[in-house]
Formats: sequence, C-alpha cells, structure tokens
Amino acid sequence: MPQRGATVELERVSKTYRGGAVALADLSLAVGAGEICALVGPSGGGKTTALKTVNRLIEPTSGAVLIDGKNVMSVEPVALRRGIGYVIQQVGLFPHRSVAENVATVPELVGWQRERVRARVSELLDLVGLDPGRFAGRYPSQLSGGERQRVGVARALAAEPPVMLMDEPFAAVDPIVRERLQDEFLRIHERLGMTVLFVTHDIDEAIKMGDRIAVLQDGRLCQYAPPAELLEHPANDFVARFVGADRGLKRLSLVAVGDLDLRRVATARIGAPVAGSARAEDPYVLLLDAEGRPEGWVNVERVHAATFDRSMADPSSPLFARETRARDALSQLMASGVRTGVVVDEDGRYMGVLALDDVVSLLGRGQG
Amino acid sequence: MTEGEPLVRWDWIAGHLDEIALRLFEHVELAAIAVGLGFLIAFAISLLVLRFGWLEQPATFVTGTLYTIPSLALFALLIPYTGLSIVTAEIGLVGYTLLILIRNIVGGIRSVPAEVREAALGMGYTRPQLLREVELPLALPVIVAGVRIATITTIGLVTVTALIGQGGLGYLILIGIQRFFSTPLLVGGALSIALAVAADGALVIVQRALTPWSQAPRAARPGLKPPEI
Repeated sequence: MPQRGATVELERVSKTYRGGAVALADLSLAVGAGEICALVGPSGGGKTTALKTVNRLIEPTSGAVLIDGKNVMSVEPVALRRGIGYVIQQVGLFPHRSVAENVATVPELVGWQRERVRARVSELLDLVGLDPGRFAGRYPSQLSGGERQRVGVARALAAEPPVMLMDEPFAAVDPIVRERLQDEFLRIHERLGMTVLFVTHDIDEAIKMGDRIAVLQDGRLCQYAPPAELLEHPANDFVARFVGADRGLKRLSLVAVGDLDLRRVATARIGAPVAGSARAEDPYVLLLDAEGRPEGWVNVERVHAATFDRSMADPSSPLFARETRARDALSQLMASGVRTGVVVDEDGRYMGVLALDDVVSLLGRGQG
Repeated sequence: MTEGEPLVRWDWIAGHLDEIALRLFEHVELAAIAVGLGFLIAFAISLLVLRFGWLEQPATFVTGTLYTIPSLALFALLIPYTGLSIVTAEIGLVGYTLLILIRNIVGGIRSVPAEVREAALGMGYTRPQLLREVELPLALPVIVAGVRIATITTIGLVTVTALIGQGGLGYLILIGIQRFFSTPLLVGGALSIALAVAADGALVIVQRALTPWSQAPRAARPGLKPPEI
C-alpha cells in the first residue's frame, strides 16, 4: 500500500461565530508529512474546530489552511474531503450498508473499478484486524463497539488519503479495547505513513499517539511540542496542570528501559568457579545460563560449593524486555517488592540491571 | 330495508360481478392517484421544509387546516370550480394525505443520526448524494409508515367521493343506501376494508424488501458476546 503523508499547516487561523463567540484565535500549527499531531485540551478549547478547518467542514474567518502548501480554500470541498480520511467518535457508519459497502464508500465516490474496490476492501479489513470472510457482509448493528471503530478506520483509509483527521476516534470504547485500537493504529500508521491530526481530551492518549502535541485552550495554542518536551517543560501553568501532577510518571511511559543507562553487575555462568566472581563491596552475582540468559541472583557469601549451579539462583527479580516502558517497569518493581529488575534483549540475554532508585531519580527530573 | 329481504343476496352479487370489479378498479385508481400525487407534492414540500426551516410552520398550518375540513364540505366547496369530476375528488383526496406524508418524510429524514450525516459529508458526499444514498434509505421505514397511514385513510375516504359521482366502491354503498338494499352496501364496505388491509400488507412487504438491514439480527447482548478480537 503505497501511501505518503502530506504536510498540513494552519496559518493564523481564526474562527469567530456570529454573535462573537471565538472558537479559534490566531492558531498556527505545522504538521510534518507522516507525523501524528495530537490536538488536546479541555472541551470547548477549539480542537475539533481546528480539525474541521482542514476538510472545510468549518471555514475559518481568517487565516489559511495549507495541505502540501496548497490552500484548502482553493479546492472544491467535495473533492478535498474525498482526499482526506475522516474518523469521528460515534463512527457514523452507514447502518443500511454492509461493512464491505461502508469501507468501499470513498473509492466508489471517486469511481474506482469494482474489482479494485473489492480487493481494497479485503486488504483494509485485514489491516484493521477483521476477517473479511466473517465481517464483510455484516451490518453495523451486528458489530461490537470496537469492531465498528475498526471499520471506521478502514473506511477512512480506503482511498489512501495522505491526510487523516481523527476526532476522538477511540473515546467511546472501553479502556482495554481502546488500548488495543491505539496500538493497532500506531502499527498501521507505521506502515502507511500518512499525516494524522488526532483530537483527544485525554492527555495520556495524546502522549501515546502524538509525535507532537498541540495543547489548545480557549481557541489558542498554549504549547506545541513533542510529548517528552511537553512533560519536561510545560510552557505555562495551564499546560502543567493539564498534563497533570504525575507528568514525571507520564514521562516514564515514553522511555524504554533498554534505552536507559543500565547498571552492570557481576555475572557468572553456570558451572563457573564461585571464588572471585563477586565484587568486593557486593556479594550478589547474577547467574546466567550458557546462552547468557539470567537465571537469578546468588549471594556468594552463602554458597559453599566450588562452582555455580542453577539451583542456587534466586529468580525474584522481574525480567524486562528492552522495549518495556520505564513506567511499566516501575509498577512491576513496586508490585513484586524488589529493588532491581533485569533487562534482557530480544533473545532473552542479559543487558543490564535496572534499579528502582534509577527509575525514581528519572521521575524527579524536570519536575516542579 | 325491505321486509323479508335477506341481508346478502348472493344472486345480486353473482349478477353484478362486472360492475363490482369495475368499481373496485376505480377505487384502486382513485386511491393510487391520490397517494401517488400526494406523495410527490408532500416530497417536494418536505425538501423545501428541510432546506428552509421557517417553512415548516406554514406548511404544517396549511396542510393541518386542509386535514380538518370535513370531506363533504370540501367537495361541496370545490364543485363550483371543478364540477362533479375526478379532479374534484382528487383535490380533496390528495389534500388529506399531505399532513401525514410531510410529517413522516420530514421526521424520517431528520431522524437520521447526526454522526452518519457528518461522516458522509466529511467523506465528500454532495448534498444530493447525501439525500439519495443516505438520508432517504435510512428514513424509509418512517416514510413508508406515513404512506401506509395515508393509503388506509385514502381508501376509506374514496367512498365519500361517490357523492360527487366518483367513489369506486363508494358507488355501491351509495346505491345500497338509496335503495334500502343491504347487499351492495355490504359488498362495497367489505371490499373497501379488504382493499385497505391488502394495501397495508403490501406496503409492509415493500418496506421489508427495501430495508434488509433493519431485519439483520443484532449483535449478541453483552455478556453473551464472544470475546472481542
């Protein structure tokens, strides 16, 4: 599926309604090709309005919206919208059309050949994790909330739009399904590389989904920054409050443990001599098997045998895959009541040790 | 009614089958023209009402007023202009369908969920496409419900037009009344009822055929639902 993102720029966009209500005030925002820009903020902040200026469902009072440098006001709205994917919270599937017909909507509007449409529908249902054989003929009333949302995403992707607008797409499903949909969408995005504007009121979702996050309040842009920067240096009190008192913790969810400065500890293989294996100040040695996979800790002061053996190892430290988020590692350490975890690579081999203290000190950085 | 006369004289029926068939056909014709024409007019007015909201009040007022005029009085009022003609009959009959049809067409289209409309516009439907491919199909059950009521009402009302020389089966009823002869009266009445029931049933079948999605079995209730993929 060749697909390419387009740049999206909002240049000093304002929207004032008759009667003087200001929905957007001088909003400027540039989204790079293939980026996910999360628009976040309290309700009434202008995020949905900003989103809808891109496909002209709302037309700005002043300012310009450019897609790949071209002003959207110079494109006929119907043609413009057929080239932009659009997903909304209540999905808005057509109840009188089957799943396959729903997904085929835009390709048919733009006049694709029947065979091409059919192939594309199957491809897309597969992409969003719905078996075409089982789901193509169903009506929306026969789907669960998560399945409907998947169909909504497939429908928006159908004509390979370089830009996708998503307005709280996962807000109406339960947290477990939401997380799965988020992960799947990120995977799809990685494959297709379209540019995404993603509206959410949930800062955690914004942090997870966004390459950059735009915080909007009262139609104004408070801050536009990558998640880590937003958490580390909130531009003002409003942003700091909005990202939450636990922003240190949230920052941990951006970091993989494999990327941290891990501690190196004394290690030994099974069958190696015990004598001389530990460091002077610390009697604990991490026992590894022949492939270098951790077996557990051995306190050499309590060992009376000459060589290490698997039965000596205490496996109480949790193992973390290198891509484990530091936040998840922290909760696991807290839950298991130990002070260290062992980080391993894809093959389960020892990479280093993560101590609770290291994570906690990370938490403190940039706080306050 | 004449003394000693049976309630139904089957020999009269047997001898007048052609006449009865003719009146039945006339009845269907009068009703079909009325509902068909009424639907076209109501549809046009409904589109205007949906487009220009301020038209709703006057449209409801005018069609509502039409609806309240007693049919006899309406036909009497029209005779000086259009005579004892089918035109007179149809003006009255069409007039009575409008209120119900407009209400149901407008209501049906307005009941289309806002998110469905927004998604359609967001994907690049033009307004006419939205109406044709989304709003009308989804409004169909409500619109057909209106057509059913209008049809039943009209079939009953057609009998009254016998008084201005039309009337279909109403003609038989009128003869029965004028001659104190119960057989044609009962034949006309029974056939009129049967016609209404048959037309209603046919419309239900038409609606089911046109809205297959509304009969699709729903997703299982939560709790019985298989785990989500």
